[in-house]
This record gives sequence, structure tokens and C-alpha cells, in this order.
Amino acid sequence: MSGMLGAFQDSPLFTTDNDVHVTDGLDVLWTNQRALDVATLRLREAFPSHAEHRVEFIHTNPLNWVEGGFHYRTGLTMLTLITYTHSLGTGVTPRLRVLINGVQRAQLTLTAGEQTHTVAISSIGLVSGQAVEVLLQIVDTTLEAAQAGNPDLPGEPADPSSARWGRYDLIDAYVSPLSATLTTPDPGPPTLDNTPTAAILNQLSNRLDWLAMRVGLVPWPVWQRPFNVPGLYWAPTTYHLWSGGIVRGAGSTLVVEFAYQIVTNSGERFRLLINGSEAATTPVLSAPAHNWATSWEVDVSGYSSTARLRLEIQSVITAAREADQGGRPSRFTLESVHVRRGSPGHLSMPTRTAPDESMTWTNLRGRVNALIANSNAIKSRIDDNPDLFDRARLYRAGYAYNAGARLYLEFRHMPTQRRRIGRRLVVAGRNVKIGWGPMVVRAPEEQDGEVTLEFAHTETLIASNAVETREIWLDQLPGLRVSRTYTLMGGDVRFAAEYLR
Amino acid sequence: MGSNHSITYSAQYKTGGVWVPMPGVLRVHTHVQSSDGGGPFRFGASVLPSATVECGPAAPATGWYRAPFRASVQVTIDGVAHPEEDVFTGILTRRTPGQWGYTFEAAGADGRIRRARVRTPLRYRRALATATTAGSVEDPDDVGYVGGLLNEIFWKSGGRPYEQAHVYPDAAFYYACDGTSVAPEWGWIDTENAWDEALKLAEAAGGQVYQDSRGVMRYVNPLLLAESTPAPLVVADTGPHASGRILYDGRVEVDEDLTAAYNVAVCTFQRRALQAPQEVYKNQDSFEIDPSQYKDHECVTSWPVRWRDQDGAVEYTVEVVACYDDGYGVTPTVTVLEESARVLELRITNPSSTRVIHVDSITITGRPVTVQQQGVARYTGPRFDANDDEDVEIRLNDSVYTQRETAAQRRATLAVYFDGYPRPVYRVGNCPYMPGVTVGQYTLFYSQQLGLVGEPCRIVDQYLDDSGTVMGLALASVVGLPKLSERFVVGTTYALSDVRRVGL
Repeated sequence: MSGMLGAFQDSPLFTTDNDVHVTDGLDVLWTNQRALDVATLRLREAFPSHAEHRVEFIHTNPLNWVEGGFHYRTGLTMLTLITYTHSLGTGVTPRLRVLINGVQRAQLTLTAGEQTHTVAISSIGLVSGQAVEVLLQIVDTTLEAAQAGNPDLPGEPADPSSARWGRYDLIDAYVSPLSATLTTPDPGPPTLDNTPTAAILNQLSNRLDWLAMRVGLVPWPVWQRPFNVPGLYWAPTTYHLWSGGIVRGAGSTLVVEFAYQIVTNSGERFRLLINGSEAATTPVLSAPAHNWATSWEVDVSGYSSTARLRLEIQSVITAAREADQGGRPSRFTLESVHVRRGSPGHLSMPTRTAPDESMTWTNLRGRVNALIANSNAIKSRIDDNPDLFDRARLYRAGYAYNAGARLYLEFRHMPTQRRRIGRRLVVAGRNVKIGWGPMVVRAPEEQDGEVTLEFAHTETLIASNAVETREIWLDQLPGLRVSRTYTLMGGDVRFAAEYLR
Repeated sequence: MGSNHSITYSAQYKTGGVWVPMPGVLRVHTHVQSSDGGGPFRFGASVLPSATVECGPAAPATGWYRAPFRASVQVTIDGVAHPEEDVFTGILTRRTPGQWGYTFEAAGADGRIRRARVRTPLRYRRALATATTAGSVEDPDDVGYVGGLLNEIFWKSGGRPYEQAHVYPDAAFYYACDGTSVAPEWGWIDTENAWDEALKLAEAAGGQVYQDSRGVMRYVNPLLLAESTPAPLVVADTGPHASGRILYDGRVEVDEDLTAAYNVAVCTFQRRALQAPQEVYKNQDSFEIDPSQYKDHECVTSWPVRWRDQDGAVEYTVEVVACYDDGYGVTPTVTVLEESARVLELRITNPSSTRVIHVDSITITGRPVTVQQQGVARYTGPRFDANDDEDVEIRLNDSVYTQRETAAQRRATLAVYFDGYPRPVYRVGNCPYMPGVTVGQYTLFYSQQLGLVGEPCRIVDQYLDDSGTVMGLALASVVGLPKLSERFVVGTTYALSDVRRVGL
């Protein structure tokens, strides 16, 4: 495996009366620890809530609001959902209905502002290792009773200005506690004096292995990328492109990576709102302005490290060419939203030991003891950051609201990992392919009216037309190295997350 | 030299489970042969003895084929009788009419191991070989057994630890292993030819398996090859012939196979991981079982399977679908006879005393250990000839026991160190017989012809002539090989100022 994270090797063994070996021994401990250092410094990706699209939903009750998934392991007990209700709409009493693997498990009242909802998952028949599907619906139960099984609301206009049109965001969702899914106890730090016994060295080896297992429990869901999102409007207006939520934790900078193309508008800008206030913006742009790789970096150190920030990206059109005059919507792709540390904060690693190196026992002992001390620091990082290490974020499936929309949006909302970080990818879905390497965007004119992507490398992950779960060791895909981008194609990915090992 | 030698042979073979004297033995001729190819310390290579036994007309006519066989000699020099010493342990493999009666051929203990069928459960992080001692637990059936895979092969082939010979006087052969720190994540043995597997283990561990002149099957850790021993044997062309000092006639042949040398080794690895429970075996072949009878059925899986967790709890299920003649279902009694890594052997018993049952399918779920990642590691050492304008690369044999990338890296490194660079082998003949000399022995070699003064060597080949007077020896130089004593060793106490090397 390439890159620093490739250092996660299985634990070496030290045996009495054999040399303190390096290539498959001490050096593995060193590189494993460096990988743990990197892995435990990584911060959050934003939880993606909602992206603009062409599918009107106001006339559907219940509304299939959010689809997602998680990888169940014995020990997980709770699904937590954090909603933010901007407006409830009038004349409706919306509820949040939670279906797990198609079975309703909760129905929760929504009120204005931020709410934390919990749903027990420990005794509902989930099997360890199973990819679990979660469907969140917004439902007006009063209206539902009147519908008599017909979800289409007769006479309801497909119009967001309707009074029924409430506005809701899911700004975080996770299952927990991850720590309870590991039944093996921490071997703890050994103490090394003047005798490097097998017990001591193997305890350190086992501890680093345990820490890797512990960090390896944390899924990194594949980012749901809104690709080439066209605005609905090309008259002067402000419209929503994407929303989500994030806790900055130890991060100090919010990084938003995106690309855009102004096709015909002559006055348009894109802006980022944090908690409803503009925090960053592009200049006012005119066609044919475009940028395929740009970003905002916003200082968020002034926010509480534990507060959840509501994020929204909008387009503000001030001068447009009308559609009947050949006006066309601009395009916007959101690659990544994450927080970054102010300083790297890496552990101070002991000098790396070279095979056959000659040194004093003082020197070697110091190096091993430094590894032991660092293992404590890594353990503390894990214990002190439950938001990062004790919660498995829900994978956010496509932003579509029904199967038809999902098919329609297949090439617009694609699970895309901006930077591969893990060794193993778990995917559940149907007819899933992975694409990586240089990418060509085929224009709608070439592709039956829809944008398509062509990758230099593709591989079928799930050939079946039925939902299946697959584990893929990413190193087996040639050229897909750590930090490289990949995309999952097929339009029906129910769960996708990377794991460090 | 001018001494008077006489030699007395004695030999025994095992018949009916008892060691008995081989009748009519006239002479035993032994020879130790290095395996072909590569340098003298190529990992996984072997040094094997063979013997021919000349007997008179009283030689056994039956019951000898593949019978365990051992021989010893006693040499008397100038009227002084040396202690009797074993010179061979193995099995009889052939009998042909000879000049005085019959001549038998015997193979070393490898002949027995070669025919042994050895299976083990899946072993987690188990060293490929562990040091045998007077107190080491070697019986795989013992609770808490943590012996190496190589030890397990030797034991299950009928061998017993040499250091515990007094406990096992009737062992088919004895073995002695050095330990190794090479321990794959998942190890197992499932073979019909345990000898080949033993060589693969030695190759993966780094080191060699050989049977010494005493008949002891040994695994030697390469870091101990260059270690001197107290009062090392001296082989010299000047000075006296005396105890611990062999005087030869000064003629030396030097083998140094430059064509086999290399400075780059490439080694593959296969990372393996334990998988979630899934179907690991399904048999659709139906068979019948008579009333009150049973059939034993070996369920062979494609992957090795962990049948029990680390606490010994069962992690598999067996479903046997069976019915009577009329199609009504029946639940047969299923007993598990063996849980080895790739075989679950079942005894399926018909519970009816009157009716035949038909077994339609056997389905087993369990946790297989599958390959998750494959890759290659490479070590490039300095070229052994500065004038060479390119590296010489070899690819080491693939091994299921090389599972970490770093393990492959280390194996490649050790291969270049121990086998890649040309290493001279000195052949000397006409050495007066000296009791106690054995293959594998550490030796200091002197040669005026070659200008060598106390060159550290290991004996890699040895033969004794018919008269018992003369030996031939091949001595491989161990100069420059990494040594354990120069390194920090696990389990040793050090002072702060102690200076050592770390390992490779």
C-alpha cells in the first residue's frame, strides 16, 4: 500500500533468544505508530444534508427525505440524528419518521431549530457486519391519514412558495458507541528498563495493533458529491446549492473545495453561509468564468470546538440571461467540505531504526520508550475525541427523494472520495462500479442529454442487480493510491465507507 | 599420520515396534549430501544423509521395507577405543543382492517425513520454528502448546525433541530446532508431503533444515551460523593431529558458484485476513448410510478456516440434510473427528437401526482466512563485483507463510546476505577419522595453499570411507555473515553503555 497509511502492517512478533529485528519488527512498530499519528489527527468531513436538484417534492407525503446507511457491529446501541428545522411550514404537523431496513423504528416530532433525536438499534435484529439502510421521512401524519395510501397530494402545486413547504436539514447523523464494538481490551503500555523481553516488546506490538483496530473501527463515509449541479433559476435570485453540518473540534479552518462554470449569467457569485451568515464568497462572476479547482478557507477558530456549525452554499444571481433568450444555468460541483488544523500537531517520533544499525542500549531503549509514550498520546487522542472516534457517521446516499430521481441524478450526485485514506472499502448497493484516474466529462449533447463521466480506470464492485455488500482492498486497484480520488458509479449505493485497515 | 584404525559397525532396525539388531551387518557406509542449487546456506535447502548397509546372508528378508533404521560405529585408534557414536538415523528403502549377501539402502529421516500426512488447525501469529529445549512443550495435543509449525511437522512425523531423548527412547528420529521470530499472521499445515512443507517453512523463516551425522534433524537459524562454539574443531594442514584438531593433507578444492550469486532479491507476500462467518463448504453428492452404521466424511474447504476462536469457542455450524427412503427427513448424529485448517472431518451416524438414510447435503459455515492483499518487496544490496554494470536479481519462491510486506522485505534482505553473495566451500579429503565430527559443526579452517588462517566455516558435507580411517569434509565459509551475538537479543539484560547492532 502506498503512502504513510500503508504502514499499517500486522503486528510483528518478538521471541526470546532472537535478535531485536527491525525490518519486520521495530520498524513496523515505528511506521504503524506514524500511521496512527496521522490517522488520529485527521478531522471531520462535513455531514452532507441537502443539495439542490430538479425534483419537486412538495406534493409527496411522506417525503423520502434522507437515505443513508451504516455498518452495524455488535455493541452499537444508538442512532443519533441531529436536525435543524428552518421553518415548519404552515398548516402541517411534520414528523421525522425513521425506518431501518424498511421497518419504522421511530416517529419524532420536529420543532423549529436544532434537535437531537435518538433511536435504539441494539435490539432490532441487526446482524454484526451487516450494511443497514436508513430512510428518514418527513411526514405530516394528519395529512397522511387523509390521503388513504396515496402519497400524491391532490391539487398541491409543485411550488416551493407553497405554505406547506417547510425547510429541514439533517446536520449530523451517527451510530454509537464504537468503543463498545471492540471486545479486546487495550493491552496498555509496557515498561521497558534494561531487559527487552518478548513480553514487553510484544505488548507494545499488540498495543499498536489494538490502537490500529480501534481507529480502524471508524468508518470514513464516502463523500456524496453534488456534481455539476445546475441551478433551477437564471433570473436574478438566490438559490440553495448545498447544506450540511460540521463540528470543528480541534480544527481551526473550514475548507470548502469546489468548481464552477458560469454558462450565460453575467452577474453571479457563490457564497458560504455559516449559521446563516455569509462567511465567504466568490467575486461576482460573468460568463464564461470558470474554475475547476478552487476553495474557500475560513477561519472558524472563533466558534466553540464542540458546537455544530450549520453550513450552506448558495448562488446569488444578480444579472442573468433569461431562458427564452438562450440563458442556461450555471454549474457547481462541491468536492469536499472539511476542517483542518491550524498546525499539524504531529507526535515527535523517535529516530527511525535502520536494519543492522549499531548503537548503545541507552539509545535503543530510548527509542522504544518513546514509542511507548507515543502510544499513550494516541490513546488519549482517541479517548478525548468521542465525536471523531466513538461515532460512526451515517453514509449519506444520493440527494434524491425517490428511485426515479435517483436514476435521473445518477451522474450528478455521485459518491466520491476526494482523497483516499483507507485500506478497505465497504460498499453496499446494486450494480456498483468504481472509477479512478484521469476523468473526462462528456457533455450532455454527447450523452443523450445527460452529463456523464469517463474514467481512465473502472472496475465492477457489485455486478448483481440485487443489493449486495462487498469489501474491497483498495490496494488491489492499480494506481488508486492513498490520496487519489475515486468515484462510485451506478446510482444505487446504499452504503460506502473507507476503513483504515 | 601412521595410526592403526579399526572400526566396528552396529545397526538396528525396528520391527514389530521394537528396535532389534540388524542381523548379519558387515559394513555401514554413510554419506551426507547437500541439496542442489544455490550457495551453501540457501534458505530452505537441505543437507541429507543416506546410507548403504552391507549384510551377510542372514539379512532380514521381510519386514524391513520403510522400517526405521539406525547405525553406530565404534572406532579404535592405536588400541584406544573411542565411544560408540550414532552415524545414521533413517528408514530402509531398498534391498538388493550383494557380494556377501544383501545390500540395503537407507534414506534419512526425511524419508519418513516425506510420507507423513500432517494437518494442523489454523495457528495465529505462531513462530515458524521454536527452540527445542529440555523443557519445551512439543506435543501439539498439550494444552497451551505454542510450538512452531516446523516443530509440529517433526513431531507429527514421529520425531521427538533431541534434548528430551531420554523421555522418548523409541522415537523414530530426533529433532532440534533453533527459534525464529518469523511468525505469519495465520499459519497452518495441510500436506501429504511434510518434508516439502518443512523446507518451505525453513525457506520462509530463513535458515536450513538438515540431518546431522548423528541422525538428528535440525533447523538452524541463520544468525547462528557464524557463531563460534567453545573449543571449535580445527581443520588444518600443519601441526599435530589431535583431539579437536584434524590434520589433512593440504590439498583443497574450492567451490564458489559465481553464476548463482545475486544482489537483488524479490519476494512476494499475501496478506491474509479473517472473514465474517460464511458458507465454507457445501457438498451436493448424496450418499447412503446403512442402519446403525456411520460414514466418515472429510469436508475439505477452499480456504483455511478458523473453527474456534482464541478462547476455544466453536465458530462454525454444520447442517446435514438427510432423509429416509420414503423422503421423510431425518436428523443424523454428527460427530466432529478433526478440526484442521482446511478439513473438518465428520462422522455421520444413521440413528435408525432398521432404515437406510440418504445424506443429501452437508453445509458448513465458518470463518475463512482469505488473501486480502498481494504485493512484492525487494531488497537491493551492493553488487558483489564492483565492475558489474547491472544488478543480478532473483525471485524467491512464493510462500503462504510470507504475509506481511515487511516480512517479505526481511526475507529478501536475509536471502541476499546469506545466499546472494558468493561464498567459498572448501573440500578437503584424506582427513583421519575423528569421532564426534558432524555436519553443521563450527570449524576453523587453515590452508597454506589458500593463505587461510582460522577461517570460520561450517561443515556442510561429510563422508567416511569404508575402512573408517578417512573422512572427507566440505567446509563453507561463514566469514561476514551476520551473527546473533553482535546484536541486541530479546530476553537479555543490558547495561546502558552496551553497544550492539539491532537485527535485520
